[in-house]
Amino acid sequence: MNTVKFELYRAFHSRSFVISLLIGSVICALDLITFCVMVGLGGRYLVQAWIGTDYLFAYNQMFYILLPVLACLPYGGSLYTDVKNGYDKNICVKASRLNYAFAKSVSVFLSGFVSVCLPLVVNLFIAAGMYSNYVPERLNATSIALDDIYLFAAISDKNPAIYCLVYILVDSLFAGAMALTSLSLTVKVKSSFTAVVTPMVLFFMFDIFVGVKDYGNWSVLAMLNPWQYMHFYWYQMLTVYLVILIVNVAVITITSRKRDVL
Amino acid sequence: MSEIKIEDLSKQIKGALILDKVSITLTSGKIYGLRGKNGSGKTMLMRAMAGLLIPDAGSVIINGKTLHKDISFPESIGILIENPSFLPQYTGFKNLKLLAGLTGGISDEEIRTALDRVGLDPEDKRTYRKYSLGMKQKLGIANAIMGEPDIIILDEPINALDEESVKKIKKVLLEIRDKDKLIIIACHDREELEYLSDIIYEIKDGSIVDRKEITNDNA
Repeated sequence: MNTVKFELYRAFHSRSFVISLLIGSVICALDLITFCVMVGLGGRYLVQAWIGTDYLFAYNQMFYILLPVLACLPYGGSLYTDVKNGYDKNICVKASRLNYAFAKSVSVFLSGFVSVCLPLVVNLFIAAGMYSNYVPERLNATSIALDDIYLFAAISDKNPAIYCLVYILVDSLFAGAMALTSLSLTVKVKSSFTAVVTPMVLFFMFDIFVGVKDYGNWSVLAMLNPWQYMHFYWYQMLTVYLVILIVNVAVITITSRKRDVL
Repeated sequence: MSEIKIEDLSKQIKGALILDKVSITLTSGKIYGLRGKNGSGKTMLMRAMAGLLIPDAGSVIINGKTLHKDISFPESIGILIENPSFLPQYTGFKNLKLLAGLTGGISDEEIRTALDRVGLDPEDKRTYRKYSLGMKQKLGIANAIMGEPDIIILDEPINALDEESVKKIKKVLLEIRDKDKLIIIACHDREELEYLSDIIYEIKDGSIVDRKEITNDNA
């Protein structure tokens, strides 16, 4: 437990965590400002203004393309840095390698979770202060859940704000799992930067691959966009999430157990 | 009373044999010196004793418990192996406080004492990134001795230290040894190593080739 507390303290007091939050917040702020200026305040709804479901401007795409980086940036490269500068020696004589890997994983997951969750929540709350939580007409082509086949359509039909919150939770959970990818890549990469950026490249490549093979609705990055410009089933989301999580946890556990601390 | 028993310890890294059937027993109340050329295996042997290396063959037994079988890491140990490494954005005190929190049981007062003993000001507000090379080395030693663990492993502890600091560190190490602690030191300076050590092991190509008991007036 001490190791987890120690790593959480480091993760949430790191400069890269603040930078990640800043990048996410600036994108969210620009989206809302642009929406206010270009579309105006009257006659519009919360789900049109919130960055997750605002498809009018590029900020939505920008945020979701950068999501893996926003998630990995806070603490994803920290194990690489610890190993590189020898700081891990200080820890591995006071905690077992598995305990250290567990503490790192928890901290990387939570820092990734928060760095994606916070900008989206703040953006939603500010938008909610400016626009009504009106349930849009289905044929109005507003943005989300135009049909029952879309994920969480029942929720968006009743309360769009709750739909947004549910999707923020989904995105943040994915962000946490994606952040673990940078941790599991630590043994293979040659710099902290590579550890942080490679997950985004991997998810992109996966999206291109499934797109080319006509399995576009397995695209991870598209799946995370609350705008749902593609149609997904919940089991696809769950499968992708579990695969990312299990593969990362397995790689981290295997590589940590028998690692020489040099 | 602490004891490190190393039995037929061997280790290869990237095909190179770095420890070759090393067998020694170290007991508390003594300072053990490790001597050898660069790349002879001194640091690797220290890493193995600290539980940082996983042996290919043989074992490291600390107080009757085998490392990586019965225990994952030594129960009470302080190390400075190669260059000291700390979090650059924090002060020396804050760095030690964070590390002390990993095991618990080390008070702020003990951290201040450790810093003071090596010649660092516990109230110094400068962050680690602003420390000189000598100050970084002292912080590394303070980290190893804080709370006076049963086993202390120091690799080239007097590197980058001025003459006065070397005297201070030597005095501290002898004081700690006299409290029945086990200290292992690797040092290139022959005179200093002989002054501090009770027993010196000579290492060559990953093997112990000589054992020498030192008689000096620091006992």
